Amino acid sequence: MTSVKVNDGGRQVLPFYILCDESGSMQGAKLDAVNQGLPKIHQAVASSPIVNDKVRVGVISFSDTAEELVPLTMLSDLTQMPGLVSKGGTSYTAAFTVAKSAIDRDIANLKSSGLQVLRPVIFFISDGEPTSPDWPTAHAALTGTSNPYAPHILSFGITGAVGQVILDVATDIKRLGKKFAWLADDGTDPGTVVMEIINQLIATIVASGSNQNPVLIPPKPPDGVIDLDEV
Amino acid sequence: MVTDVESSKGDYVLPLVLVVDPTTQVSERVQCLGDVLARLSQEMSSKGVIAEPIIKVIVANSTPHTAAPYLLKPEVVFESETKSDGFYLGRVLSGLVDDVTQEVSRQKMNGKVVLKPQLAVIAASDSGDSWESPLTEVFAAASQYRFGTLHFYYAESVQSQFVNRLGGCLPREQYVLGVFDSEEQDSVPSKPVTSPDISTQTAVAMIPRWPSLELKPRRRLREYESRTSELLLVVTDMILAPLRLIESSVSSVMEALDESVPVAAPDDPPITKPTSPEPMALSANGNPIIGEASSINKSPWWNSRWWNVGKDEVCREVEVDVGTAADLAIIGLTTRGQSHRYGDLPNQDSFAILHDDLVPGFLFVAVSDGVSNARFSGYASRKLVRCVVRALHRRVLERTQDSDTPPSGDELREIGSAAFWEASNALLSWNNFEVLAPPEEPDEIDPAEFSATLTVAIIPVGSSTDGNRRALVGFVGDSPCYILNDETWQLVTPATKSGETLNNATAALPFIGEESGDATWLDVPIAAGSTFFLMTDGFGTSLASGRSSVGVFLGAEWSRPRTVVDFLRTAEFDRAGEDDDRTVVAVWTPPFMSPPSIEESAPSLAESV
Repeated sequence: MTSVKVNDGGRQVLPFYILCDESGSMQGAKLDAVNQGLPKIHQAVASSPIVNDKVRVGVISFSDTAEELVPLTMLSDLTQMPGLVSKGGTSYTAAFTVAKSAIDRDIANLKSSGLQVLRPVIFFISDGEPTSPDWPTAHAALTGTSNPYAPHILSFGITGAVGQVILDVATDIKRLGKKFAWLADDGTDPGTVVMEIINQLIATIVASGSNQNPVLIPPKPPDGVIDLDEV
Repeated sequence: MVTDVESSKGDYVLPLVLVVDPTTQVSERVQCLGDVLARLSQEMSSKGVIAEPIIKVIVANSTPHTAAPYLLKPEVVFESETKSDGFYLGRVLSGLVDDVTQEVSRQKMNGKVVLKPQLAVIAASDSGDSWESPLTEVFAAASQYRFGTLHFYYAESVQSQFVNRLGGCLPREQYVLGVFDSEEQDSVPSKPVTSPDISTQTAVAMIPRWPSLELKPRRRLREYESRTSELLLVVTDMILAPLRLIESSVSSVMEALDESVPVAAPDDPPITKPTSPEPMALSANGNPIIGEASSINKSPWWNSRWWNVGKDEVCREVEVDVGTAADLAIIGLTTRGQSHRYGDLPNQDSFAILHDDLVPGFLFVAVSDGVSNARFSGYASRKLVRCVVRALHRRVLERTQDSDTPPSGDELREIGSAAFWEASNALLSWNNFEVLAPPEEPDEIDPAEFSATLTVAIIPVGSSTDGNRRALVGFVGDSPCYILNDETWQLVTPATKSGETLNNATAALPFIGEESGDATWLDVPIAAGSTFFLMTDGFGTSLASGRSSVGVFLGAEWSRPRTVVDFLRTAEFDRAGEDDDRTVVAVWTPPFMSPPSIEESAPSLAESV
């Protein structure tokens, strides 16, 4: 039997990553909606001093490759949200690989500044089938038990995405007893759905960061989507 | 089905309850427990052990198997074909006092003397439901059948938060913590186990430590009781040793983490005292910045629109009391937290300090932290601290008027408990002119809307021969008591929770119901020259037992009495994310530390420009 040192202090921060598809198929209304939505997230968080101090937000875009568009940051430190530009295919492998190295680096940085880091949350947004067949391996490296910093993934499929794949990307959040995986209904306007999703991301980030100690408060289902975990 | 307790053996029975988290893979192996215990029983009788352990195993699913009897050889029901739906500790605990009470009466009818029941929990994850108040009940219920010690064994993957919250519920002496994980392998004297299908025979053979325990022959009960925990350790080790072996050979239980558990604790910053004081950076509002500045303090308060007066008639931005009581120097201070500044809400913390010539021998202090979700916690905290110090004062006065001997520790505890009840009851009636009083009538309000913690101290005034003294500290909830000695912080009350996320999960007043509830009381030595603190977690969490940079900063600043202005300035330190109300009562005892000499605090000529 071992007695342990009880860690009874330290401020807590909750990192959020937006992992967004910018493949060719996103071009048009969908990507326009993302590009209008990202500044709203920035505005909502940076203008609430309480939330701003407790959450960190990063944006990673992916197509054939993945890129850290906004490295994880306190949003008040960011002057302007960059935009996404459509190009190429849909490599989930690149997305998950870049997310993993970003998380590893970011958690180490946050820890070294004396913070307790809560399990990161990824909002995954895609409208296409993965073009890289080996993505489950990269997904497992990110979310499997071998990764001590395995994030929760909440996943949103827009018109063109495959339900089963979107469901597989999402992780099971035991505390909440479900996966959060949603697919846009056929026939709803893709731009409107994306705006809805972004509004839910904002609500989630703000609610989660408003607690005395931050904690993931899950999003409500956006209008015009199917809950894949209940199908 | 197995046989019941053999009643012929001992006069004493020791009820043990083992709660197994179904998300541990150990639960699937618990079946071997029955055989292990049967072995144990044989061993015990051959060694002349007088107490019969009777054990009940509960697999804490959402529908826990609570109907299981207490048996020497427990019947373990674990439906492995049913998918486990999570770990629900609260549900198990809430029925436990009733459950053990029944068993105790049954044993008594059989002529047994029943020892204090013991609880062991094996967890690999945080509980899916709220367990704090049921746990407190199990250990603090007024019923005489409350449990003795909690043996809490958790997987390495269960990180600090669950354990912290547990520590916040019980006094230190009431729990034993143990981690099971693969690194424990070395301590188990055995050859490596490759198959999870370890047999009972092997498991029993591998049990360490048992032969080294000297169990006394039949003696008086009192003498035996002192060994109860030792016996339990053996029993749980008996249970755990084989389980650990099994555990270490199956895959890890990492996936049980959830995001309310920090995945990464900060690397402990090295604690070094600065050799020469550096001027600290100040925020736009004049606060010394520790680490990263908060968003609110990046703009002057009159420009940001983030710093607002309250929706109520007061916001209680800063309240300070200062003065001496005979040889003691005291400052009490409360300041409104940033989340309340931003949210147009008043400060929900309060403190009170009382000393007068009628009761010259004691100083009474109290702090209270209003639970943020409770609508009238600001009213509650203020009323609690005032009522409790007055009640303590009055009751000690009544006691000392009649007698020349000072009240004993036990008498003071009794007085303290009565004062807690008095303050708790006083919450439930008010007039409309009281500060922050609810606009509704008392019977229209749920008492939970008043939730607030309360920590009090009764401190002897006037030096003893050596200048040392002993204070009595009582608390409900997580507002900590610290001693600061030579810039080193010592946490007196149990480790505070840091990951509070559930409503009303902190123990709080008012006491509800006729019989439940008492404060936890601690006897706290205060060495001459050290400083005694009561505080709310607005400071307590930041201090982190003094290991944090805030702890180092305040430890240096508060080791000696300070001017009011200096004290307020240091208490208003700024650090991003520290947005709770902050309250502290500092009691400096003589001899006071002198301020640093000029040579120490001024930069040397060579360094200055």
